[in-house]
Amino acid sequence: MDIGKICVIIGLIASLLTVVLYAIATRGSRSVLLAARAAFGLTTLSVLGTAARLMYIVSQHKFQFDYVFRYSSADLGWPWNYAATWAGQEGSFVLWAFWTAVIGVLVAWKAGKWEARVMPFYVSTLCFLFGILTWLSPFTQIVRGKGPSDYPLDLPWPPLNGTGLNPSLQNYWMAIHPPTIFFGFAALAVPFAYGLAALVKRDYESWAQRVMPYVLMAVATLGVGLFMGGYWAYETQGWHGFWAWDPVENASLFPWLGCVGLLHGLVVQKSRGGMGRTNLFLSIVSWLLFLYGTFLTRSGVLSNFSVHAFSELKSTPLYLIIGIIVVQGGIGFALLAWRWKTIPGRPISEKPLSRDTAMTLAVSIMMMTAAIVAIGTSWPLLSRWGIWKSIPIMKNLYSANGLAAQPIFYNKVGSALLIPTLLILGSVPFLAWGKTNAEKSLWKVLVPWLSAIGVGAMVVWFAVSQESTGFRPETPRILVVIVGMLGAFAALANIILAVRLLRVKAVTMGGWLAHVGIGVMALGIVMTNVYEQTKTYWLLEGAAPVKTPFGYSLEFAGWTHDGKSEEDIQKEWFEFSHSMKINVAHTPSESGVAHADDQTGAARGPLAYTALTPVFRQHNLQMAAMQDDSKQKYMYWPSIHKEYNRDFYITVASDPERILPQATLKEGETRAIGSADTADTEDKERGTTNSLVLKRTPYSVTYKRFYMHGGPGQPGTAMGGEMVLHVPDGRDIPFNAELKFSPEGGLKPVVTDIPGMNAVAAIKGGIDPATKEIVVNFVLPDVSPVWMAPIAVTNKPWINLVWLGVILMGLGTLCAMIRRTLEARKGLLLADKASDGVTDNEETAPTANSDPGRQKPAAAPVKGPAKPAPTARVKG
Amino acid sequence: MKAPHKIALGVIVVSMLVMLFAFSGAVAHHMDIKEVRTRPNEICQVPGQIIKDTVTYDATKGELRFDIAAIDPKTRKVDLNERMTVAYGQPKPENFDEAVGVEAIGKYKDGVFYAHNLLVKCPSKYSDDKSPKIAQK
Repeated sequence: MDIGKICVIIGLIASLLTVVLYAIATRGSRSVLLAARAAFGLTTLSVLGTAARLMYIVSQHKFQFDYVFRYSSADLGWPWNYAATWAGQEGSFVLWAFWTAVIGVLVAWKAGKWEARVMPFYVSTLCFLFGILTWLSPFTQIVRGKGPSDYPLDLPWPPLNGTGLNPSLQNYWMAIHPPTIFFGFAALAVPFAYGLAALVKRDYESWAQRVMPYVLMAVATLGVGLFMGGYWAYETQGWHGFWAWDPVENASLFPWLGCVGLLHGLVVQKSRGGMGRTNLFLSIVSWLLFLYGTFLTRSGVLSNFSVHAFSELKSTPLYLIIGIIVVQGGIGFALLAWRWKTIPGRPISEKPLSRDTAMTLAVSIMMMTAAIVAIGTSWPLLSRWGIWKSIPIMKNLYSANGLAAQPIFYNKVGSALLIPTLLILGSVPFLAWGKTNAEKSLWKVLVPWLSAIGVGAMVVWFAVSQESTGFRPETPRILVVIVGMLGAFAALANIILAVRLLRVKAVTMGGWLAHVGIGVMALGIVMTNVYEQTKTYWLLEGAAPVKTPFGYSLEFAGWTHDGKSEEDIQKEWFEFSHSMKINVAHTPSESGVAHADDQTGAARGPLAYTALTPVFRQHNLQMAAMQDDSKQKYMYWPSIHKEYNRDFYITVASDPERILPQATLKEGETRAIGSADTADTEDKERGTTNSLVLKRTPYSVTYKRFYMHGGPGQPGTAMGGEMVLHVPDGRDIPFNAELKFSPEGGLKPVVTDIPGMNAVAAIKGGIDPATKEIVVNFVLPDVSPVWMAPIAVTNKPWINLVWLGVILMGLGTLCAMIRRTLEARKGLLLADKASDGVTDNEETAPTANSDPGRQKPAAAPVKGPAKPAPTARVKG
Repeated sequence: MKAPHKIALGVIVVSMLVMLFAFSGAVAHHMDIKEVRTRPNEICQVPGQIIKDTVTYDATKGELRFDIAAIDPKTRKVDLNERMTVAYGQPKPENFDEAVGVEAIGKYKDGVFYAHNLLVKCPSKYSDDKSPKIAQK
């Protein structure tokens, strides 16, 4: 048994022991607590051992292990020889367990009196994970034997090579994105554990303050991790988008939304004392949303509806995942129901113009958004429920085979919910807890409002300028303007407050800064998605530059491997330096025709930059072995040129080819041999583009007669045409161009030498049986083949606002995490603040007033009138 | 009912309505080639095996075109006589050349299925045979 597997089994036993010992330790015995800590220590060591062993066998290419064989190969360089550790299901479970253990150490260390109550719930997740890893082990070896799926006995042992990491995963993001996002997932278990511990302990106040830093940690890492995934897709996939509403993406999004809802509920609980029951409920729900998302993506139920979802899990691990949902969810809700009546409900303000109401709305909207995304993602499963057939409005949403919600569903719902969200986001800085003095606040709101209207006007101007080139967006302009304006409003309102707090008490500006990020993101998303434009062209070596309507002209400029021998190129199968070079030059941006001004070269302006579009040869060995065809398979990455107000995105749309001089003829015809060129074309839907044409060379060819020697379909039979090549110097050279039936079956072209010249000819494709038409390719001494690549060029305006928004959101969340950690350490009692009904005056924009009778000087720490100052330092 | 509860309930009701409204015309029914021909202009999801010889990309139209053959979902047998042409208006997806099958999502119109999304299936999702006929260096 491999040492990795031993670690898993020890971990399973140790984690179960940890749960039991901690549960017993709640009775107060110190020695049991120490034993529990020891058990947890052993659990953590087992996790570390498992992870280390897995990383070792992967990075050291131990291909006798099935997991290593399936997901890596001998030529995998750094960092993928390590990152392949989490390429498969088993490895990602190990990654999840790793972070759970690491975060668990932090939780145990900082939990104080809560340790014994929180840890059983927290460590229970590790029990399940070890259970899954016992059955779904990455440490099993390949079976050697004679069966079809067994490794043949006559191949070397240990195997010298594996089948390789999926080329899409061979990107530096593979080393960064999964660890980040799994850290966020693991962190979601902390509020869950604390919530249940609070219910057991019947201490419903201090858990909220203790747990907030962890919730912020989860929000920050999950949120950033989500957008890392988006950016990864943008950078490497040719479809120039960053979010596809794929089930796997959604399965990370809806837990994040749940967690954000929980965060805001906790803010209310901390500031106003209310939402106590809601938060306990939300802490369970966020965790279950994540577990449910995990189930969706790993079980294989959505594999027909997603590009990323893992393929089917074996039954035992699948039951364990369902088991963890049932057990943890069941215990959670049971506890909640049992203690429901004992949880004190503290009323929060019911005034419409109060921060309390805004937060109620915000939390509700966030949770509903999470629910709707989860429902949409699950629709392929839910749609099979027969009950829909009997409800009139739902009839169309039933299908026995499963219905998938399309991106337009999420876009519609998202826009509808985004509008009130942005309104609230922009208003909250001006709303006070409790009651807002409307007259004084209202006119201060005008500042961001008017600025936002200014932004709205700019959006309209921008939209009009984009549409003047003939572009018709799919989304109505009014929606773009509204969302853009509200995004700007939200960003501006929050930045005013954030800047003000920066000078007074910088650590409290976190949340406001994060909201600025959301507003900026909303503006960026709506502008870039609606106004992006794509044009496709043929890029041909030696042809006239292609003029795009985006201010640039493009011209083929060779390959980065030009000058290397074919052998060298073949050897470097996954080499970044194999890029197609495209010279990108400035042109005045008229919506004009790409001028084929060959003679003067006037169409080209000054060179702006040279784009490199990497073209990789795919070399997934198992695929090659199974499919048995030697055609080169390519993978392309785009060239992204970032400018402050747009990204100019060029991608190779399909395989580049060398086009040889050729002629297409029927029997008896004489035609000129043509060399590839492009010509401008007007397409009524797509505007100006180009198409491939042939331009005459001085050579021509005659197709005298079709012949077939032998019977059709028999090996050795040849069929083709008797031809005559007419050379410019006056010679007429007869030759035959033919296809031969090969012994393996199928027709193969024969490459014919043309006598008396340094030239060859071969038939391209097949021969039409009815017309006997033939296409003949030539290699001629003075007419070179030309490279041809179809390219897609996309203009993405204002996309960098999206990434800027993400960064602001991340920074803001981290700042908030620091603040809440400091507060938790100072042990400010929630009860004090809530019973005073006092608000944090520093946290409102100027002039928003709370209860007039409780004015406090802006910088003074919060003090209750009847309590001794400073607030009692109570631990726990 | 207390105001915050009313607010929450209001949000729940309104967002459920929004969701129902958004669902119409935004779902893809899963069906086979024969059936999809009878449902023009409705968003459908069709599985099929890619017929490799027919894959072309036309940059003038900005379209990837290929034929697919019907696959019986239960027996996984391919019926080469039941074919359909798919047109996809984006660059060739990353794993397309290795893919055996595809789920095309879009609308059928005048003999061609115009797909707005392609879910590309790797061979391992089809064959249970993980035979390691690998070239060992």
